[in-house]
Amino acid sequence: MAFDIDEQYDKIYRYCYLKTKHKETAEDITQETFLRYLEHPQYSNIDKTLQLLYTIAGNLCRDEFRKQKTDELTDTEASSDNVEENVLSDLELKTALTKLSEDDRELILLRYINEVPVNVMAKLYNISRFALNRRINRVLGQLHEYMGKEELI
Amino acid sequence: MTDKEKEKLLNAFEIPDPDRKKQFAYEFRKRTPEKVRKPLFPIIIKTVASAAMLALVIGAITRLPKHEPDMYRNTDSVAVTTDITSSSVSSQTTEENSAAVTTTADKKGVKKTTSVTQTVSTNAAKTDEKKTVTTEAENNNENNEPDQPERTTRAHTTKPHTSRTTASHDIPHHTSTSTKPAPQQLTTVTTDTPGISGAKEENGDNDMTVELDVTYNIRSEILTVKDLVPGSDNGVGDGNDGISPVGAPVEQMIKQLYNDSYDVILAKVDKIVYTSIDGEPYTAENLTVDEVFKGSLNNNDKITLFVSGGYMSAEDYIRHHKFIFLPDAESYSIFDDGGCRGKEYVGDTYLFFIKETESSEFPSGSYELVTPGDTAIFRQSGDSYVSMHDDWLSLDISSLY
Repeated sequence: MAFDIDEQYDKIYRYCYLKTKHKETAEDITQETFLRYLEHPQYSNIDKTLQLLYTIAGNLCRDEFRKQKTDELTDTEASSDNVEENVLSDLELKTALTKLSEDDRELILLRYINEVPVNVMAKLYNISRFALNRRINRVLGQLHEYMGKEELI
Repeated sequence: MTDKEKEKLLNAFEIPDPDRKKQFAYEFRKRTPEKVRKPLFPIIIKTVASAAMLALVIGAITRLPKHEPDMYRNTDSVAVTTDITSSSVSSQTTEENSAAVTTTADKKGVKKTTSVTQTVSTNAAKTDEKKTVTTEAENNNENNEPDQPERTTRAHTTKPHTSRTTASHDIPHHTSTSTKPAPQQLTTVTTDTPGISGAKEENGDNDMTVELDVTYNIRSEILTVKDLVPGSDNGVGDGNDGISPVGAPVEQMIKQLYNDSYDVILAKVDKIVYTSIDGEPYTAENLTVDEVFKGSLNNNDKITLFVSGGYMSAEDYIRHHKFIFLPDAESYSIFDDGGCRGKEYVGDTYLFFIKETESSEFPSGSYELVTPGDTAIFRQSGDSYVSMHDDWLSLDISSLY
């Protein structure tokens, strides 16, 4: 296996949670991702493996979103709002993160928490590495602006 | 990004921990152990290559003339074929002492064409001999091809035998020969060291520059990525360029740059070449190391650094970005700044925070900056060094000692 299941489970789960904002759904999708991964030819190259995992996870999240487009979605959103309200605190970073768009938050999560290589992310987003870096820089700039460029300890 | 910052960021997302991870991981491992399949194509290539090699060896063996050993002849003489860049025979002794032989390692995918210029001078009256060996690279492209690499791994000293066949790469442009060749030291610069030391690395002149498969000249018509794709941001990046998303003072950012680097060097730019990697423009800079603050490089080492951004031909760019339509593409060069604000110049010296390239798309043995863009390149400004990307990011070089 080209990856450590313990490590990647957490990362895929975080990615799915960010998209679905629902813990159980995120975990279901995470497990489904790995099961579907087994149905594909498996790569020894870790970059290709990550690309496959995130593609499967992204597609499943999208399918889940479409499935929940009716009233369930409202509930989900409400619950996510509650989560976010619970999240909000004095910490500037959390506040700044909530001000970012969902796509931008996803970018930050993938790049800095899940540590997905830039070339893998570029392929996932179907943009060049430079374009991706520019986008990340723009998001970081926004984050700094929201935090007022103060250091957080 | 430090672990502390990562943890801070993760906490900021407030993602709850999963409940079923342990159980699933156990089940997953039970299902997967033998299921990993290696990609087929490399296996086929390896098999075919092995078969071809075997056929070659068998053919060579069967075609060789049979030679019956003569027990009464001196079998000590051995025909040795070498590429000799310097030969050495002491002018003072009747015994031939040694030959310095350079073996150039052939890396996969790296082509080397090297011409060697030798200047040998001896003074019969002295035991110490002065010798000069200069290696010049053959440039196919006059404008911007980087120096061809001559990777000298080790000079072997061997006692010359009674029969020897030697061959050199190219005819040197200028060679002064003497009747009594003197012991030589294999270097790429003039040296007065007597005797044979052999290894070029002893003087730190390790040429680790890489050869590029594709290089570009700048055409008269230039388009930026923004011109090609309206709405795409061709402007340089803002903020800290990925150094620290949680905000950090300058000192901490410099420290992080230092910690993230494999090597921190003061180096002179010898050559700048525009190339592309995986359809994206890069600038390859050949550097000569002047000073080392961190890492395993040595003074006078020569390396190739890949910096994001640069120029490439429009037709090559379009080949990798199929959604772009550009008639008469052969007339244009495409420019992408790659997140860089500054521009390095040949002959100037800069401070670089670098690491070895990690992706297999880059030539083996090359280097890249530790951050995207040119934040990790510093130019001298008065008494301090300032980042090419952000003027406010500056350091006192004495702090690196």
